[in-house]
Amino acid sequence: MVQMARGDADAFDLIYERHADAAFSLAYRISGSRVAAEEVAQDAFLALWRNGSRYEPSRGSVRNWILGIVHNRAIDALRRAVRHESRRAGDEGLAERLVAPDRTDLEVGRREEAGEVRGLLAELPSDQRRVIELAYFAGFTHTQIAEMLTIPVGTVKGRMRLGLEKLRSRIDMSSVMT
Amino acid sequence: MGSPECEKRDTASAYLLGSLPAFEAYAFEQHLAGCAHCQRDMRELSAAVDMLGGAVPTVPAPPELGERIRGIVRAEANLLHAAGPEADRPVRAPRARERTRWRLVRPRILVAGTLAVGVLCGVAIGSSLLGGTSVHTRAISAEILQPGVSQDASATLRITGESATLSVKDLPRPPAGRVYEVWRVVGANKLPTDALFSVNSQGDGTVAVPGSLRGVRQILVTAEPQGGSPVPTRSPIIAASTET
Repeated sequence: MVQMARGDADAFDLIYERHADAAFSLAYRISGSRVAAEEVAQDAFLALWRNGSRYEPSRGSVRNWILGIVHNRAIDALRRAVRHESRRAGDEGLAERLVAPDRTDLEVGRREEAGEVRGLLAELPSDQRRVIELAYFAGFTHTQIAEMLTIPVGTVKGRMRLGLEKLRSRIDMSSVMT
Repeated sequence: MGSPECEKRDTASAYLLGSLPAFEAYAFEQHLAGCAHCQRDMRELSAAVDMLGGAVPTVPAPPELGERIRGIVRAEANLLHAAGPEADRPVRAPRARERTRWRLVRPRILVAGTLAVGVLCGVAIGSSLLGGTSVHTRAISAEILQPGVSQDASATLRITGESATLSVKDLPRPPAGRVYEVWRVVGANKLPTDALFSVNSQGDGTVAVPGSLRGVRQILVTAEPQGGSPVPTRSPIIAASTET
């Protein structure tokens, strides 16, 4: 990151290689469109290239920082578009419909890790999982979620907190067991 | 976990998930600055939110996306290296007397100008001293294809060996959300380059044409979406023939 922040294009290449699939996957999951996902991913990586000096290791990994940028930009784009219908890309079978790259050990590891997190998410009570998914992946505000589920806004926020707390504790437990 | 001491503890989760409208997010940030309980919640719960980003099924990034992003990054890196410590400083418009000097031919990716009437004016043959070796430079006046913007706009392609630079004067900034892109025309094909540029406040500048000119019959410039385009989406505003 330090080298990239100094304008080293080779250093950027390395970071791109490591995180491009994760970034594109998240952008695609949120936007539901390959074209929109490409725009978001490109926007995010160029922001990374141009503002890399702002990265602070103490605030998390490079991967999480990049995914945070992708998430913010994808949600922004989604809200601008205001198209909540027919944009959802189903999770199941998504990867299979597209050509998979060479599965390096690293990539396989990441896919397994992603599967584990999905597993942890699936273990949450459905009402908590639903508000988290509607907020994080679909970009709805807590007010919209409350209207959609016909529950008070306070209940939405409470379920979000309970869900995240459980997810956090299960991640910790999973880390201890592996 | 959780901060029963603070009435806004549930808001931290909504904030982390990005579900607060802008004004509520701003208000929470103001609160967060002075609330140790919420700061602790944010630290603890952010790990869970971070994991969500990596929980989606892997969809391989298209190779062409990587090529496009790397092309832009390389172009900007070249610009930074060429401009050195002066990279981020505004460029002063060269005086008329200075415009004919060799230093403008150096490969800086920086362009400016105004669209205007222009015609192919001819070819000037010159020579420059490069590293002690005399190298011929052909200066070709390019055609400005969108009339009516400025009578002063002009563009010049300078060819030295198999490489070239394009200089423009009095060209306007690209339309909002767009950037100028240089194209190499080989046969009937318009090949994209990673030479993307905008304009400075003075309207003057120079961009290096990437790659060899071998087989290239024309250099074009179009205004493309930010990040460039693999195919032209608009009509050229500048055309320079390499064969004259």
